Amino acid sequence: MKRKKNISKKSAPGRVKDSKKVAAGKARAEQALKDAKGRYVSQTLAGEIQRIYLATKKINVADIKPDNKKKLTEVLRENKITGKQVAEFYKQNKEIFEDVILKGTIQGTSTNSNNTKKAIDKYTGQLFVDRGNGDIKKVTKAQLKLHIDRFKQAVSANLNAIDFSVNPLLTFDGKATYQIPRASDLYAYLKEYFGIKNLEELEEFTGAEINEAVNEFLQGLYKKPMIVLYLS
Amino acid sequence: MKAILDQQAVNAYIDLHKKIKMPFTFIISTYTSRIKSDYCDITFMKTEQSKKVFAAYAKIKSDIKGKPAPRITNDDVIYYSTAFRDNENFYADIIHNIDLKSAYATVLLNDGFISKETFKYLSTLKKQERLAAVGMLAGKKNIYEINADGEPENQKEVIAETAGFFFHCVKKIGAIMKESSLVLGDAFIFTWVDGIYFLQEEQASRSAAKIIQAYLKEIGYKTTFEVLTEFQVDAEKEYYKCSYIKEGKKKIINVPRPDNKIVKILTEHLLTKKY
Repeated sequence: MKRKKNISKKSAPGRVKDSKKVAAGKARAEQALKDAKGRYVSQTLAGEIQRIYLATKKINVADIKPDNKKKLTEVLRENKITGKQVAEFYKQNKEIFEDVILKGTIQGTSTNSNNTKKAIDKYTGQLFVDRGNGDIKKVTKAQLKLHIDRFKQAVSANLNAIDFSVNPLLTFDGKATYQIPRASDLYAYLKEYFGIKNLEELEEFTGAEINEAVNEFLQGLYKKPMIVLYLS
Repeated sequence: MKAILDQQAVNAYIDLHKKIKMPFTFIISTYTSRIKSDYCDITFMKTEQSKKVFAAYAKIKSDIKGKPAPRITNDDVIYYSTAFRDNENFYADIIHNIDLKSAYATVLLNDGFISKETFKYLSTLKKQERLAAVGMLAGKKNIYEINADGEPENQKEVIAETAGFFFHCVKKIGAIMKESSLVLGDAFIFTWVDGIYFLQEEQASRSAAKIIQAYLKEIGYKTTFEVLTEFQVDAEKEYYKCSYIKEGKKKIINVPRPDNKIVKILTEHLLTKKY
């Protein structure tokens, strides 16, 4: 069988391009949402990006699903928002969206222990606790809140920490992972680091020294620590 | 029964209940843990809280009795503000710092919530003790019902009815710090709870410090003035690490960074959407 020749589509010499079609093509290209590999993002993700853009413009989109293209287009039009604006917004924040597109996860913003517990209460997905060194377990809301309260008590009572904040690792399909170390691991580390037998001896050290030790502990426990202690 | 707050001892009691398959109530606050079951009722307490702290708290509580608590919650308060530039590290050989003396206790006195006697008593306490005594106003108990398998089944929070008094103090100090930062203009670096940090700009800063101190004195607050050296700000991913030397000792304050707007929206969206 004869193979077909691979002939690329070229305009015939001397053919005049339709300027309207060229402009329309350019406009479409400007509105395109493509990932780092140049692929078009899925319609649901495109809808999600549109929703986020609308939310930044203080437009309530809580009731619109990301796959409801018709409704989203309608709201965009109503608010005189062009596809180009959304694409520009996407390009400017591509780094953030890359995580979502390529890894399916995003490192959320941090909240203090109190607000973290409030967020957990409202969350409808699956919760996980990361105790460090790859020890990640699925937990219930009550279990996670108990971990938070026990760790908070441990650092407040013994390290004079005002509080701590933690950034959850989130996925679009409903998983949230929180880094909450075991207080016993932190205690053991501090005892070895400072060469002390009990934590009351920590009073002999400065806040700066304790802070450095805590940071080293967290670095050792997690590749990317997403928990910060606020020591007084 | 009472015991010293020790995580290993608390864990031992929890494990024992698990082994004998006995449900219990676990109550956690900042300085205490209580295990209550058919087998025992034991409260683990931090030892260093001196009797003076509890005495000071009792005096405050007695003074505010019958007075309506301000309707302010933890969500209404700000503990810090900064003029740091995003992702930029910063160094200054010398900076200046003004701290409010007995800040929260002074708010309670100035706003008529506590007597002069109570204020005097609070002033005799160490800084951490004073904060603990006033902080007890916003005491919170986290109550967990633990089942026979040792798993928490439900949780509830009980916040002290006097919490509004404490958050009133925090809010007021936050507002005073904000006002002071505006006086400083470009010399302002950051505020952290009851302290303000600013650039030393020859005589200008000293004048600014005088103006702020005069302003704070006028509204009834005593201050301390410090010269800090080797001030360094490192923009870490989630916070600004501020380090400096004060009286020959290195200090570090981790100040939270403002959230990236887009990540914040994404986070809220993912945490609240229905799965």
